[in-house]
Amino acid sequence: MLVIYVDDLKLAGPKENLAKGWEMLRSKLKIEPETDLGLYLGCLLSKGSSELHDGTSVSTMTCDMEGLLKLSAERYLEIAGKDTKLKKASTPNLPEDTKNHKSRAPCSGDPKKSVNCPWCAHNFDPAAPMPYQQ
Amino acid sequence: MPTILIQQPQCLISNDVSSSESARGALAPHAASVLMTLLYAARIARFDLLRSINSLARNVTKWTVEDDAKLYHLMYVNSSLSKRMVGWVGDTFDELSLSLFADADFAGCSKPWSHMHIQGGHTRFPLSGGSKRQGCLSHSTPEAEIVAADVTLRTMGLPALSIWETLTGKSPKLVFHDDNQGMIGVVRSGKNPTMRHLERIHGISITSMHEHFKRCNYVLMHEVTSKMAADIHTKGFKNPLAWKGACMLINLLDPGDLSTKGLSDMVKPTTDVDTTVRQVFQSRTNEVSNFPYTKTPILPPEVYQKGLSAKEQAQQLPDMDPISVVKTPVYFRKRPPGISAATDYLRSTWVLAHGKWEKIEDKASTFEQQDRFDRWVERVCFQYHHINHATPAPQTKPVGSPGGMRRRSPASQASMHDPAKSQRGYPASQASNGSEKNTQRDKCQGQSIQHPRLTMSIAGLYLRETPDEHPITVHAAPPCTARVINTLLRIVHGGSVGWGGLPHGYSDNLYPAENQDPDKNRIAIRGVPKIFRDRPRKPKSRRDKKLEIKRNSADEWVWEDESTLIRVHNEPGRKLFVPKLPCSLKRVRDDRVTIQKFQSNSKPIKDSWRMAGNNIESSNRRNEFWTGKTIFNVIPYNGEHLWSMSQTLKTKGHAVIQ
Repeated sequence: MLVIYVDDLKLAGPKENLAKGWEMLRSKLKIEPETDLGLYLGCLLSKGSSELHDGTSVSTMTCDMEGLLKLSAERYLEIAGKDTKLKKASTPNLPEDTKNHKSRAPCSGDPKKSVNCPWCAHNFDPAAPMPYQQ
Repeated sequence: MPTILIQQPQCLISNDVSSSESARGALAPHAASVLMTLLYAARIARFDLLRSINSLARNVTKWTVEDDAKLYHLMYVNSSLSKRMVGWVGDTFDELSLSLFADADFAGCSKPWSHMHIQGGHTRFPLSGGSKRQGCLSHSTPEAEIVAADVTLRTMGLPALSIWETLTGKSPKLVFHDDNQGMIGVVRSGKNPTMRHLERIHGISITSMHEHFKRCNYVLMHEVTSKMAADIHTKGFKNPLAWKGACMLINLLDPGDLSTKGLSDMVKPTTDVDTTVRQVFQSRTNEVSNFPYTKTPILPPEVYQKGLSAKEQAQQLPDMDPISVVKTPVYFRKRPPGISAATDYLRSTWVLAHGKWEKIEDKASTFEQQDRFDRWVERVCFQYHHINHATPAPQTKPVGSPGGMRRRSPASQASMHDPAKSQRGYPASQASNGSEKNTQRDKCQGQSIQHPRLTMSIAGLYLRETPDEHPITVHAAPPCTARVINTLLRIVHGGSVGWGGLPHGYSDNLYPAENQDPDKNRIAIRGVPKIFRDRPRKPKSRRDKKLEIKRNSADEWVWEDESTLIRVHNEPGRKLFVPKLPCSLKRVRDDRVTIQKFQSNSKPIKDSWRMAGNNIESSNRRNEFWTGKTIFNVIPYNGEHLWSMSQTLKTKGHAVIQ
């Protein structure tokens, strides 16, 4: 199986056929000598073998984008200012505050002055600042 | 023509233009370059970042301060650089199948998310993950799910099958996982009368999906939410343990994760692929209903009683200790405020992880109770036991089973209290002299110990010699014994004034605290003892009398012989009777004879009670009330079963075979 991404080529298949494949490609194209599995499109690919919890030995394929991610973190620091300290976060999502969101908070203000909203039958004091403005 | 001017109320004004401009984020001009670099990395090998990046990338043209904060938080990548996408293969080609996951985030603009990997017993190799935004919004979750399923199948599943066939010459099994029961129902039946607009609006044909899944190598199966690989694309996680689990599902592992048990449990399929064709919507394990399409009971079988639900809430039935169910918790829960139990309580905890309930705490006292979960769990059921009756005393143990003791009045509960056990309940009060927390606890515990308690065994008061012969409750003891015990208890703990203090049925206050307030004619011991004389019982109120009449005139079951069960209707009714108790409904034959007694005459009706429609309407033309009896034929069991049946009847206060 041949993957071509502009000028990056990746060839997979039975071992004995690979050399033949490259030869066929070289008959029409000018290409650099091929290398073993490694960096392809910024992703470091590596083959290996490991053992699962139940003792089964498996062959593994690891995709590693650490380099590019480091680069983007550095770029972020560049635009945000070098003094910025990156915190340790356990998930990329900010807590989605729906239950305790401020827009759900009861309206402050004088309950005697409250009027009924014509659309949603919600009672509020028009003079009081709304929770999300506070 | 009058003009009505309605001023837009403040509650509807979200934010005006000037405020949005002032809230423009500082990183607005440069955010795109960071995001797009990240997006490239995420597309190739970090599927966990896709959702966050995409939601931010939508705001590049209207960047706000909030987005600044989100981008800052997205620099989570810096603390997760060690995460790798690892695919592993440990099976032969024939044992592998293609697994597709589809999910939709309805609130997030109906974006179908999909994930695909190769699955085997010891294989999980990620192939693709991503989303395609739909042009129009869906009206409901099942609709969004159907759209997601269609997109996933069309853009990922079917092309992958073609490549697979070209490479290997064989067609693999395509297993489609979805977590929406509505969508599964629609695709399995091929009919969707409520969403006839799908074809015009979304360009989706239900029939074509139905036809795909009719083929033998296409399997549509329900997946529990916790094992839904596409969930990471549709949900925001804030629980780190849940996040780790979700990452494992899409093969994103930290170094060393591959050989852990957590991983093998997580990636194990919920249902065996070969049996999914017969996936049953509603099944039961030991009389406990299962979650839909799974073999996992909704509650731990030890806890389950009829009437309890799997909902995330505190629940309490008269015959049991209160329980509380929590989904994906990080902390162990203390007794919730809605539950009436004493301040001191013991806690049992069951966790549901990977389709199994496991008991991790068994009546743990306050000092043994854990605080924080060390692993991710799908669901937890806590049960809070009253401290007095949850620890049966060794000497009094033969007197009654824990089940029998649950219904005691506070007075009789105390009778089961044992000094040795009570000290075991408060081990730290003597042992600990460590942290501040412990000393505080000691103080609290010390206070509760100061209350007077009757700490004698009642075994000696019974006339019978062997413990087996002792009655189950104090109330079943000879009247003189019960009276002595109850009088003692009243003096020590307080209790209802008057005769023996026997419980009259259940009250709202199931677990009243000791030393009730003196306003309610209880005896208070704290400070100056205030003891009321025995007073004759108040005459029954009108409501009590009514209740008693009702109790006496309630319908009842009578076994005529082994195979004939009669429901005697003392309460006038109009409808025919459909049985619910007291034996397995499978044993009751279809035919039913109803003998209706009217004021003037009586008439028998022979029909089948299993026929729907026979039972709902009034049973006679004039819509007259009737009493009488309904006779059912029952397939008899052998003697053993019959005995256990009669026992059940005994406890329920129904008729018993002689």
